[in-house]
Amino acid sequence: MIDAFVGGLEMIFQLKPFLFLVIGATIGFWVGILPGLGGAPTLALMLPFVYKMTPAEAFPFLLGMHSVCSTTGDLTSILFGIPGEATSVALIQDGFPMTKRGEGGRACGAALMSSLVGAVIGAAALTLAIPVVRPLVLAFAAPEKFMVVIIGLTCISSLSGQGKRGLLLGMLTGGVGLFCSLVGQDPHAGFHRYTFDTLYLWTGLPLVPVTVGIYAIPEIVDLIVRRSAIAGEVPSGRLGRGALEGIKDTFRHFWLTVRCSVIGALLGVFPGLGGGVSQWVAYAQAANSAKTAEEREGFGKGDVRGVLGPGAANNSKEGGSLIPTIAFGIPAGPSMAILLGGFLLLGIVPGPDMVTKHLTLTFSMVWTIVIANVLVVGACLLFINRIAKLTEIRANLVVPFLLLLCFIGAYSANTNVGDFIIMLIFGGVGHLMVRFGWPRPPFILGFVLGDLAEVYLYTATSRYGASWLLRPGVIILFIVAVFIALYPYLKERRFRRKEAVHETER
Amino acid sequence: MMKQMKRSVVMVFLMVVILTLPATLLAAPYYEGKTINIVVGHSPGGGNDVVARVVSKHLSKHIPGKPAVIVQNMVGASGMIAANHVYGKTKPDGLTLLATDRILGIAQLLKVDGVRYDFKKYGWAGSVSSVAVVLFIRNDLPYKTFNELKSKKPVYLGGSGPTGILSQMARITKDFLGLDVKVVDYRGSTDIVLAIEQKELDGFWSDFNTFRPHVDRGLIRPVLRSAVSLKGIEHLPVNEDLAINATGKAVMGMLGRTAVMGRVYLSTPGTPDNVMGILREGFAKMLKDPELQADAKKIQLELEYTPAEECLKVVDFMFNQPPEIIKVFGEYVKL
Repeated sequence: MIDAFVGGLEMIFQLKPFLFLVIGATIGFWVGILPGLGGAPTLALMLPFVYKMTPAEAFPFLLGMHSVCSTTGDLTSILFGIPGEATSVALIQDGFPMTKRGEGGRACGAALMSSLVGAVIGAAALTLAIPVVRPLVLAFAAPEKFMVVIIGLTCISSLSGQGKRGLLLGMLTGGVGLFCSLVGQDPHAGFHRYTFDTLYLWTGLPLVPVTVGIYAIPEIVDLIVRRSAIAGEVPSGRLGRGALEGIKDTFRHFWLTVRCSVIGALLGVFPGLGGGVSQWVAYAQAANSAKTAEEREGFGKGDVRGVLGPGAANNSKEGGSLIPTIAFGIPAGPSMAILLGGFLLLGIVPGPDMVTKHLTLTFSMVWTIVIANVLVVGACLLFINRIAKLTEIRANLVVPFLLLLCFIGAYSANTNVGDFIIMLIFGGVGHLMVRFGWPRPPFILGFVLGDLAEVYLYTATSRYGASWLLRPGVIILFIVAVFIALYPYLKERRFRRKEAVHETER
Repeated sequence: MMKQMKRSVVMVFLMVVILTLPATLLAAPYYEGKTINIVVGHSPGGGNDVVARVVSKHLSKHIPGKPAVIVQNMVGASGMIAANHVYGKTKPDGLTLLATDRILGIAQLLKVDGVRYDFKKYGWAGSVSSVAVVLFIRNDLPYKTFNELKSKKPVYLGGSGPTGILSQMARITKDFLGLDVKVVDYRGSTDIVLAIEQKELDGFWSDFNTFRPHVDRGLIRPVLRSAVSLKGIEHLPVNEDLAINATGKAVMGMLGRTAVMGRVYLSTPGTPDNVMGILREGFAKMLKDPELQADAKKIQLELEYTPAEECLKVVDFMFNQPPEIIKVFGEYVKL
């Protein structure tokens, strides 16, 4: 085992594998930064190039690209309020307000460092889990997966605002999100729901135009109205604390970063739950780590912990999602499905052989994730303070560029004019939500989880009837879901009791 | 005088022929300096996309003029957006090819909303793959043949929704093959394989090539097939031979025969015959290329050319079925 661990590292540091790793990481850097251009389509485009490569060269090339997309995708979310990747949406919540306060460098430093910690923990999870992953994955059948989705949905209570009104608004927007996920062809009976007789909506509302619309358009409107730079709240010339402070923040809140990394790695194992959901569950975890009511109110307004949590989770899910792919040949998502194609192309059959015959290759993948992220994070940190200065540029110069990024990102979904229309419609919806104080994260969570919940519930019921409700795994997960749903209230009651005690003592 | 005039005419004619002969003989091939755009109606990484990328790598050297060949994804409505685009919006110059399969023909047959094309009117280059669909069952089940499987009640077969071939074949098996089937729909074949590992499912219908690795590692085995045969499954019984009535046989026959159109390449209607001839010849030569076959083998693809004429005969067969059979077909095959 130790030999293979060291052998994997030696494999990466040969000339050709390292060169391909650097090329892959460079491609991944740009794929992450540019909105809409995702890791999965890029992997599909890179696959033909690996025909003539050996496995030792091909995996650093492919994984080197894919494992850094989330890292650099975070930067676009933080600096411009435009989601660089579908897995980087949660960072806009607190990252972009920090940028507006002139702390863009700090937020980026925090995101980059937490991404590196997340990548290392995800890679470690991959290393440790492979011998034991089989019983873990096999224990989660459709009923248990449905309950995991429910646990994801219960995070809505943590992502909503404070108080009863906050929760009501959160539930309403979460419900609207769930409703929007129903658009498209019904997966069981095949009839079309809310497609307005268009072919475009057959496959439902596309994720990227919706998230770009909900998050980026309101911020651009705000910039136009304010007529100042993105970091407009800070006097010109004083950009505030930089990347180094962000790195220190990662270690100040180290256990939060580790917890969120573990959440990302765990959720990454389950198909469909990895990227889209783990960032929000981690954000909810970060929000729940607030020790006072004032701190809790600060989330959504620029708390660095709101950057650390999702920043770590969206990288650790990489290692997590490789676990079923390598151990079973069962991909945890579209990117892993394409990577699996790469395995077969190179004559490698995922399965028990990966922890016996090909253990060194497996460890080389672990090291690829770590080294690619170290290289990209190092490169970004060298220049991030300068890149953050982009946020000082006047609105009338930066808005056209941001709008261009939004349109390119949205169009990449289906290369259809409908992508622009959807982005603009949800841009209007997002603007109204910001204006009237309706929280956006519950909407996105409901939207992403809606069709997963529908499919798993249907599968569970058609296979087991009503008896799935009595499965031990389902009962345990239900208790966990209830606890997560009630946790914010229990905390709020504790805050109020503490305040009441302080008042009495005075 | 007349003789001199005749001689002059002949001389002029000969000079014209001699002067233009090199130009005629050395005329640049039609596709020289041009780019063929293969439009795929699904997202990158899917079946049609993967095959299209293999084709794009090898097609150029088999077409005189060696045009560049690129792949463009145009996602939406099960490939109908791409189909409508190539049918109505591109020039009939042989520079745009639609990579698709029988689903477009079925959509038109069943008069699905949104169809803006006539499947037969495209310029047909041919098919590069047939779909050999088989019924897999879990290897640890004690049933060796399809007949023995009938004693299990119920048999849980996996599907991926009413628009997927897995569910469609499962429902047809239930109604026309005398098997007590309960169809359980999952998100996709990945979840189905996991459900097989978890013993939540007993089996599923799907493409033999895609799941050959799982057969090789002993997770599943095939027990029944449809009309198209491949090496390794020739000995299996054919589903339409076991149908309990003529309607079932006809419906299974429609699905079985149309399976030759696994991956078809279509050009815009009105593409000139000589250009279509170049394309068909190019595809036929490409499928005999050992380098293409080696690349296809690496990613578990079996590629084999079915000429355009044969494909069109199958399309005619499909469209000439009696209305009552088409009606029953439409109850099982949804889009």
